[in-house]
Amino acid sequence: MSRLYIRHVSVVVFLAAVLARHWVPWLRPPGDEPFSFVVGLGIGIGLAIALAVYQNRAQSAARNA
Amino acid sequence: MNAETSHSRFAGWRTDAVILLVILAGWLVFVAVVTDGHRVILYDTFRDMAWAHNMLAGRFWADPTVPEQPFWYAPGSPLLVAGLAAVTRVSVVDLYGYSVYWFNAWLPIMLYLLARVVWDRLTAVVVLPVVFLGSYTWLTHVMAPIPGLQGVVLNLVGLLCWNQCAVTTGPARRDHRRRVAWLWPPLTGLSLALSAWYHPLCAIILAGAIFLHAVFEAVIPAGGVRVPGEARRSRFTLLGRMLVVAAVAGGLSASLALHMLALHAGGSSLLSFFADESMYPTYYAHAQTPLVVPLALLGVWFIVRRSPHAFWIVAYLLVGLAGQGAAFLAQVPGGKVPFILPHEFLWHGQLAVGVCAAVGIVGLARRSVEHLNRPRAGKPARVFWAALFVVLAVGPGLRGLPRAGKYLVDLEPMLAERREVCEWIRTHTDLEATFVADPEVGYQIVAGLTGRKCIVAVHFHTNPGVDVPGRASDVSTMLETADEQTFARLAGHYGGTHFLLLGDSDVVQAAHGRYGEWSCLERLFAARAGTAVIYRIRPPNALDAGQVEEREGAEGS
Repeated sequence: MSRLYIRHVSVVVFLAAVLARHWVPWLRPPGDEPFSFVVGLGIGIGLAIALAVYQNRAQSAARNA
Repeated sequence: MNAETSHSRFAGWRTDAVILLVILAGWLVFVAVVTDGHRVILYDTFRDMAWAHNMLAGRFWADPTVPEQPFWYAPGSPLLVAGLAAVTRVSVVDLYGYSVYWFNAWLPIMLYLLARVVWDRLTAVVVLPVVFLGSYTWLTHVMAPIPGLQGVVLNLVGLLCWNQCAVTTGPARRDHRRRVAWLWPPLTGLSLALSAWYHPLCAIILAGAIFLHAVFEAVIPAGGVRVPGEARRSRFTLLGRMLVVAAVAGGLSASLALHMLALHAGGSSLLSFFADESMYPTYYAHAQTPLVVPLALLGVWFIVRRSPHAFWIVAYLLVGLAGQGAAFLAQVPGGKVPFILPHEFLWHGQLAVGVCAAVGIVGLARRSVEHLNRPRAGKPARVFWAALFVVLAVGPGLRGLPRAGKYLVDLEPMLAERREVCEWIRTHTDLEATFVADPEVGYQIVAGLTGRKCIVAVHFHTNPGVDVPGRASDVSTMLETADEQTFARLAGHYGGTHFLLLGDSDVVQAAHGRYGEWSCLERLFAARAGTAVIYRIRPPNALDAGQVEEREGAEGS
């Protein structure tokens, strides 16, 4: 479980860096690249869903055991 | 249900009624301050005003701007305004000018009701500042009286109905809700169809969210939660309900869908309109209020963990992102991806981001109270933490408040300046009168304010079935030529009956000096200030058959 969290935290930090480029003017790439923001946000949503589903299943399994 | 329970339940809704009244009062004050009490519209609203004028006169299913063309835009908004104008005797211009008060007010009201029913009162209160202040896109568009924005109200109704479809299938269902469960799919279908008639893209996004949610529920029922003894049949129940929704909505909007598909089959440039602002980080990335985005991701996690029946809002967000993503990809060199109206996907996507962020904020507030081991602090502590997070996330967005009305068009100066010419047109010409006029004048004054026809309006508000560049070129020729025969031939070709000259008095008078000698023009009206002249166009003596055929061929293709 803790490994999973570490992986998630790593990905979340990476994701935050990707998204933050669009919030900080001096980090923004030339041309703005809005596509990368949409992709980053999409990946973030996917990860949030995956983590929640994993936890729901684990919790249900523990409760039903 | 005993009397005490019933009393407390109604007491709860009394609180909501008070909150709704406060929201309404706040909205009216906000609009009055931003608009200074003036009648305001968006530039696009002239298009709908033109059709409402025509519908009020009984001319329903034809293009209201260009003669002898079929309608090309969704009729919901003009139909509503024409109906209200017929009942209340208030003019179309006034109804649209003040619609930000009586229609757009439903946006915060419906958003509150949706969040209140699906989550709780705290989330419903939090969602309003997070969506309308936390998103610069929404802050600058929430007052826009256009179908694309106002249609969001119908989408919120549709989402509420769909939520009831979902909540009565999962393990969280309650018996009293299940008794009326059969009602929600047809009601969702009806909302979806109304949304389609109001603005088809709203319906497309809502339909996409419903489809994604139903598929998610079939693949991962209840977000992975397994309750012992719970029948697994609910896995496909939502898919079945989605089919009912599709059948009802499809049946009620098929004629419109077929008409629109036929109209845009050739790849209309209208659908690929790309608003520049969609590329600015302030709009697409919440750059003024960046905390909203991670809070939305947290909200997605809370939704799947705690209220998976509400996954539709995550699906709505994904559809909004997909629509934007396709358009952004098409801007990348070599990225040839079809897309439609990305700015509208942006509105819907950011609405969903705001709702998810509100869920994230309230969930985080609850966790904060629990983490501090102060469960007895209860509701006041949760409200405190939620308010703190809202201030942190949304506070920077207050910088955008002075620009909340940046896209609004103040009608008052135009109506004051053009009152005389508009009144003359209304009283001296019939609805089918076709004006030769500059496209901008034709769109705003001739079509928008009086409902009369013009040869061509501005590019993105002219029927996509006609050769817009060709017509614009011919109108330009008519306005610039010194040759009477050229003017008469082109005017005759397009069935022009009147010629409207509008501008500064010296320019209009100079032009009138040129037209005074033309036998094909007869002056009917001149504004007292010298800023407008209207001529009747006498029927042409002869047409250049070759050029007529050439133009008809171009429009046919």
